[in-house]
Amino acid sequence: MPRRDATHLPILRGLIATLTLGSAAVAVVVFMRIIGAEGLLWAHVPMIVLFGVLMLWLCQSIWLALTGFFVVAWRDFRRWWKGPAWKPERPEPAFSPDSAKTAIVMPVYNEDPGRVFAGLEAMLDDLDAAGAGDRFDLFILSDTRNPLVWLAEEEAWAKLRSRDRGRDRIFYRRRVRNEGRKSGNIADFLERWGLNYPFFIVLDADSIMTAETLIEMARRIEAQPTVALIQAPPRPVRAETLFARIQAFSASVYGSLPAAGLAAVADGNGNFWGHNAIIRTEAFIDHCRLPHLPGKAPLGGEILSHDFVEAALLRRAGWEIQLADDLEGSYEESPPTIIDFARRDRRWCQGNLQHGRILAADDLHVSSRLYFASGIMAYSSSLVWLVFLLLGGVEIARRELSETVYFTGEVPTPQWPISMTEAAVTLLVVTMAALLMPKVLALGLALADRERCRRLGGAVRLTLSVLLETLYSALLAPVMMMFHSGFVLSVLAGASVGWGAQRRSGAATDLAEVVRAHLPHTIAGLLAGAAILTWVPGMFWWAFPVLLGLVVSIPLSLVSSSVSLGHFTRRLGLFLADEEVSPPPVLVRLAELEGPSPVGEPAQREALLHRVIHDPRFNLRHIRLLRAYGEFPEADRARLTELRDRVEKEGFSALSTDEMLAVLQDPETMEELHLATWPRSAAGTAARTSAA
Amino acid sequence: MFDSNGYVDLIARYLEALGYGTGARARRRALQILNDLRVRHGGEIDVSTLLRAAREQAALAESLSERPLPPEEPVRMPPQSFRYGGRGSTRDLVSHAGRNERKGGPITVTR
Repeated sequence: MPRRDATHLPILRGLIATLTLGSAAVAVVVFMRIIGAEGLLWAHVPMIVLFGVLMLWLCQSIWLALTGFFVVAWRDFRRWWKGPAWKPERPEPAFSPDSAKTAIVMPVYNEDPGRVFAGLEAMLDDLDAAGAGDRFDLFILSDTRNPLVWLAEEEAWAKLRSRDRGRDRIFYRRRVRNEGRKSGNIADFLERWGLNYPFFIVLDADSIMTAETLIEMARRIEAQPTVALIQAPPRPVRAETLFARIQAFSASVYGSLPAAGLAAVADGNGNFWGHNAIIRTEAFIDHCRLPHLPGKAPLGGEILSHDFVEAALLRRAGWEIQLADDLEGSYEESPPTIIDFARRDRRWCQGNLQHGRILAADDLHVSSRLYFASGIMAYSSSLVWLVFLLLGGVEIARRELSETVYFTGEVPTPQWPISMTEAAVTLLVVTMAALLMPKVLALGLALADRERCRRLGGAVRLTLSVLLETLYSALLAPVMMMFHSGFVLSVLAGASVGWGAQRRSGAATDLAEVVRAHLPHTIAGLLAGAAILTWVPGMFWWAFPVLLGLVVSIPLSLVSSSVSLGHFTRRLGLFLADEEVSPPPVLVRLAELEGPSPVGEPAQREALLHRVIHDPRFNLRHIRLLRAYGEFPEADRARLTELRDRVEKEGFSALSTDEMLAVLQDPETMEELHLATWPRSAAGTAARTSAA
Repeated sequence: MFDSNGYVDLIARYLEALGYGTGARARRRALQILNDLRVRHGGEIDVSTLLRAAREQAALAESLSERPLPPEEPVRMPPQSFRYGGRGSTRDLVSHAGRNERKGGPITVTR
């Protein structure tokens, strides 16, 4: 369903495809000349193929970023021409008077309730301030298995509801059985309440969106009946550690280029990134119940990276998907350390590799196949790079160790070895320039905008930040190559990942954890360095950047996980991101509201368990929530009676997690416990004393 | 009314703890609950029955103004699959393991 104004798209797509294929082909030809200077061998073919794959991957990202540069530069130019307050025209009112409510859904799984509910409250405040608070209903969709976090979620929900008294718009439910993980959680919402809302906005537990963006997404999808999903690219915010700050900085300064390039090329063929997106409910219900892949995990079973697949199913059904790169108020929090980042990548890697099973399925749109392939390459390219480096090392060693033959056969003149150093250096320089080009262009855009440049610390600090970030990325790249290669191999070997909550807040990493994670990298770097120095010392400086990153991976990981270094660099005016220096009101409000975790201290945990039994209001609310959802596990009454007796005698904390869940999930047991203990508790005793 | 066991005070305090009235209002409601129970049950009433009745009253009052969850509009998401081998092929790579099957049988599609 192409739009009328999209006639330029085939030309743009054809141009980018041609440039990508052409530039990769040139690089491959140059590489073949270098490697085959003394004659091409069959043994060179794998290296050439791997090099071609790497070049295709690199070139498409560079040409997309370059396209994005022109889009963003044009947008900036218009803003400069019309004044700093200018924004693209958006029709008013935000909704038509007949608009139904939009649901905002936040699936949570053992997340910090303090952060989750502070974020929701901040967004509600922002919506109220924008006069659109009554146009949205909020659903906290809990899959939490930790009983303490569950109780804290209920309490936080009740607090938020009491603040919102009289406005029936904040709902909480916890699933008893969390089949299907996040996509199953959303499906459960849709099958129960989805039809009440024509559109729903999916958030992650760490998502924050401005009211302006929420409203604009709702307006856009309502105005375009062929669009099923609008994705607002999230930017990382609230970074505290050095690692997270560097990530937020690079996303803030460079991130807009690839997103704008992709949006320009994709048009209605965008993708879904799992959250910070608005979705047409009926289209999703009709087409997005995910199947199970045959076989067992990691490549079979539940589809982990569900978002790409849901987007593919919507495209297959003819719906459009838009990437709204011009919407700025869409945020998330990035993992605080390299290890947390890698842990998240392990999960994504498994999910993306699963897409290999459906990449060639019938009837998929070509864009969906490209997204699947791109997602697979996001991790497989590391393995390709590693194998390429190893093969390259073997090839160089073979040449160094073999004797040069000057006279062959009947030829009386010597055959001098052909040096291709110049061509190799040229290829390296061009590749490095291509890699750095998006950063340089993005820096140029930031420097050209005087006001923004001043906000981001001024020209000197901004340029220095880009240089340091580039150095950091160069050191990190081989470490991530090793991580990703290991992930790909482990998935292919059949190792599956569990479902754990993500660590999102900044905290320095434990030394033992860092050593465990990075020692293999350090050893690999040292061994490779020693081998190169022994057999091909001439190659040492060529390999140095890769070796250095590996050898210093432990201190690199430790240093970059430091919160104090993150704060120190902020005080120096380095790695400043737009949202850090001029945060929108919703982020300011979140910072005001967020307190320590309600389950952080043992005393808090004890108090929660005590209150759910002894506090009449808490107990009643808990039971009402259980009954309102109306799904209960199979009850073994004898076991529950035994557990209830144990709780009465020894307290809740005497139970294991599973036992606690069994009791907490059963409304009858919870009521019996309360009714038996309240009269004996302090309040009950006081009541009886007073009555006497 | 005769209240030898101090039940009115007990229920009133319980209602206060539930957030359903304070002071004199809570006592009036407690008295009403106790009277209703005596009419229904007669004779001795145990504490659990009293508290349960107080909870029902509080829950009922709260449910009029605040719903934990909105009314459901049940619908079934039809399972999707991926096919291989061109149109008309019966080779279906993907299984539909039953997800989101609720206890109590299938959900009626009301759309």
